[in-house]
Amino acid sequence: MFNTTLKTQSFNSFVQSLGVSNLQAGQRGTFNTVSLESYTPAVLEQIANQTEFWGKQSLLHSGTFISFDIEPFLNYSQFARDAAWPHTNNALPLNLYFSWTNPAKDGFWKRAILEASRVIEETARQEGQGVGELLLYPNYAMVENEVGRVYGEGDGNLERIEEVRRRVDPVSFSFFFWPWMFCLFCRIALADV
Amino acid sequence: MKGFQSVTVSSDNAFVDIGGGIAWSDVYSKLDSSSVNVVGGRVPGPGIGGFVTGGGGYSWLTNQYGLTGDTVVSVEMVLPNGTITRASEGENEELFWAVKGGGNRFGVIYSFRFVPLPSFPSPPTLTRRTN
Repeated sequence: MFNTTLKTQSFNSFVQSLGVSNLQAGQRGTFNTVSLESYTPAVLEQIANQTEFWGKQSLLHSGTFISFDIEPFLNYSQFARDAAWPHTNNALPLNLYFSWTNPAKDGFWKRAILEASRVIEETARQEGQGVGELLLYPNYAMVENEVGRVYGEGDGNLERIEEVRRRVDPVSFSFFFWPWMFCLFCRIALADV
Repeated sequence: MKGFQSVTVSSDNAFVDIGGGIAWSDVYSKLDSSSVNVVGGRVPGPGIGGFVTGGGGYSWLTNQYGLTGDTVVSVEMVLPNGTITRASEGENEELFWAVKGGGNRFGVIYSFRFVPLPSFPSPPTLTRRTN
């Protein structure tokens, strides 16, 4: 990240030096993610290309920040415990973040980040990466993504999550707290407006 | 959740209990003088609250130990109906499974118990050889 304090230091000191989370405070922004098997030269070139392309669009659309965080972890599936977000195939999370100032450009930038994600994923798919099997990291994924891309489809995982939810929250008090459910709730509620 | 920001290392260093309202950078700050660390978030800002329930999560220590959720021993939480309960591998297992990435619709977690790791050792002190 934007770490200019490269030196031998304690873990705490290192983390504190990375305080850029409020870089775009007061602006509008959105995260999204692509999960990859590998950061190959072709994928990295496409990421660079997308950075340039959308960067050039910024001036016309009140864009202030275009970010693609490449996160190349080593294999970690060997540590995986059974969990509602399965992580047994070493997916590598690419973190996209776009920010802008004009509310009238919300639609543009949301479509932009989804398009950038789609193109990068397609590049990976073209060279044989099994990206369709890799789940999107919920903490990064935009709510517009299909829930099956985040939690899996046809394997009972979503149903198992829902079963737990039904048992602890039969009246759906928490229905509107989780982004994908919140979106659905909003659409239902606003349909009457 | 501002009242839930405690970080407590057990006397035998067997586990670390962390309140559900604290930011990860504050966790590390509180652990700085101890001999243990936890697999947590990577930058100042994000809190522990939505991190594990949001799939978390990736850490600077993931290469060595996996995701944060893989190092959680148990959680204590309030269910939507107001019941206080504990979940772990062995107690309310499905609930424990669900809160690791399944979202925040299962209740409010007010305490997480983690496996602590050895903190990184200090750089070795250079000593003058006397022979």
